[in-house]
Amino acid sequence: MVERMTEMDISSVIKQDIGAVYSAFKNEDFRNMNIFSNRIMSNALFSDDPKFTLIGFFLKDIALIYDAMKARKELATFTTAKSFGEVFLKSLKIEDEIDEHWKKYHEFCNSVREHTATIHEKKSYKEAIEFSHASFIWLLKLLEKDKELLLVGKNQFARGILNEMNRIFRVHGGGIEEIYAVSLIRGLQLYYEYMDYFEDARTEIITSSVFPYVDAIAKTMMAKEVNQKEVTSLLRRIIIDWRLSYIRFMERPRIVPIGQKPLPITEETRQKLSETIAKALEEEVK
Amino acid sequence: MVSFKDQLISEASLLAPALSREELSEKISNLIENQILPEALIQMRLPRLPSPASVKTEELMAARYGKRAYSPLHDKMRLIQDLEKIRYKLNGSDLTDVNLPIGSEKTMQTTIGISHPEPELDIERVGEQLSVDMELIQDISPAPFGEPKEKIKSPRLIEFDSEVTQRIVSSRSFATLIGAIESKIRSNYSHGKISFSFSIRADLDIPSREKTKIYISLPDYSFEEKMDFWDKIETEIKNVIESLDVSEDERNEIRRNLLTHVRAV
Repeated sequence: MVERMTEMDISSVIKQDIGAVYSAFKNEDFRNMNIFSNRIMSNALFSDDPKFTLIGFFLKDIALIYDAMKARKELATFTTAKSFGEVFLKSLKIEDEIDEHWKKYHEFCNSVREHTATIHEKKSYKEAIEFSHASFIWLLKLLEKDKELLLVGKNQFARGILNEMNRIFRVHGGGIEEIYAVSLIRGLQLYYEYMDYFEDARTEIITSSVFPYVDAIAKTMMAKEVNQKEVTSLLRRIIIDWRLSYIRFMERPRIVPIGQKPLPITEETRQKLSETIAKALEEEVK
Repeated sequence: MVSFKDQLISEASLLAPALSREELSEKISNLIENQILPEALIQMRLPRLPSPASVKTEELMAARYGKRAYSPLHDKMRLIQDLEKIRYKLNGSDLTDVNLPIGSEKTMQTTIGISHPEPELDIERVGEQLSVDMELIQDISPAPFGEPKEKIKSPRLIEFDSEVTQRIVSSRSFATLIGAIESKIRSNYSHGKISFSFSIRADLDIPSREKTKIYISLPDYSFEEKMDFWDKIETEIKNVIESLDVSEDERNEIRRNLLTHVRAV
């Protein structure tokens, strides 16, 4: 007989996950930081408290920001930029209210963005929050109006919307509402990428499961006063669907074309091939 | 002895006997390109980048000797960076398990179920399966409720103490200054024989005033060499301060409060 999990148990496990995230961050191992952040969101499935999901989602984004920064050719202000992540992580308290988590994440995004800009961008662009706000609304309307495009195979519509939002926020900054919008679209994109697994049922699943999210995002974000509670609840539902998709299908293949049947070789052969190629590449860059 | 190539072909033909020779060849190419190569790229260990200074020296030397086309360090740097970029794209965005090789899951092609807006979880069952990576947790303190126990082995090129980190976040002008100095250091020096450690210390004469100190470690150099480096770095930092878009008063304030110090050992 197994005892029921309490919120206290989950909170304690998530604190350990956050410990692992912090350790990976300190050691600049952003790939593992991303993985540990995913764990938080997966462990948050066992809780009704949306803030656990939110914490994992924010930490995942931070991992991806620094991973991208590290992979860039110009590392010019990496340590300075890392300070913002360090302070965010150190000030992260699981007990904080949801409002406080959003506020800190917004502050982090607005501060770090200047360090992700190129020299040319730094010289030329100024903060333009009203422009960001108007363009985000325009993009959300576009997504809602043309959502049928999401049914088209190999379309990049959601990714395209997210790309524009990321670019506009990075260059011009934004308010908390822009952070809500980009978070919802990022969550939606993560979930939507699993749609290709449904093959013949893809259209039906997108219509019944993704379209309602597109409509809900547009409705929530275009309200006269955006309600943070609604945003959090919607984001959590999308993330739950994404994490459940991970449990069902596991990691999405990165490059394998849709519908291509893999060659049935044994795991040993596959491993040997992979090691041989890795060794040859290591030799090349020695 | 059977070669690995023969072994692969024979295994593949045995497991997929209906395939023609061409189909098999195409399948093997696809397998390597789409699945094995991404996995190999993620697994491989990439070396550190060559220092920008050594790449620059190579470029200048090549120009002097008329060998513009031959620049192995530059090519190596480009290759490492390109591989890093590919690895970033293959990051394993959804993974929760570090040991799970990307793209190798047996269930990948299986289509099951339809998503629900809210999950229906049997918490009792889930409780049985919930496992925590104890080895990892024992290895670290549960930060941010404490620092990780594991020490970073070698010093990084640039490190900030917690007060510098905090001030970067709280003061935009301080972040700009430190960012500009970091940028200069990174363009002129590489990790290895030199490291820079930024700290905030109280002024000895006026304890209420705080100064930013940049400690420079050059353990492998002689005293004279250390002094030469110190002069060079001081000049570089002065130039950075000159280039800042600030008022003259602010510039003087920065000059007063920023010091460099070469460690004796």
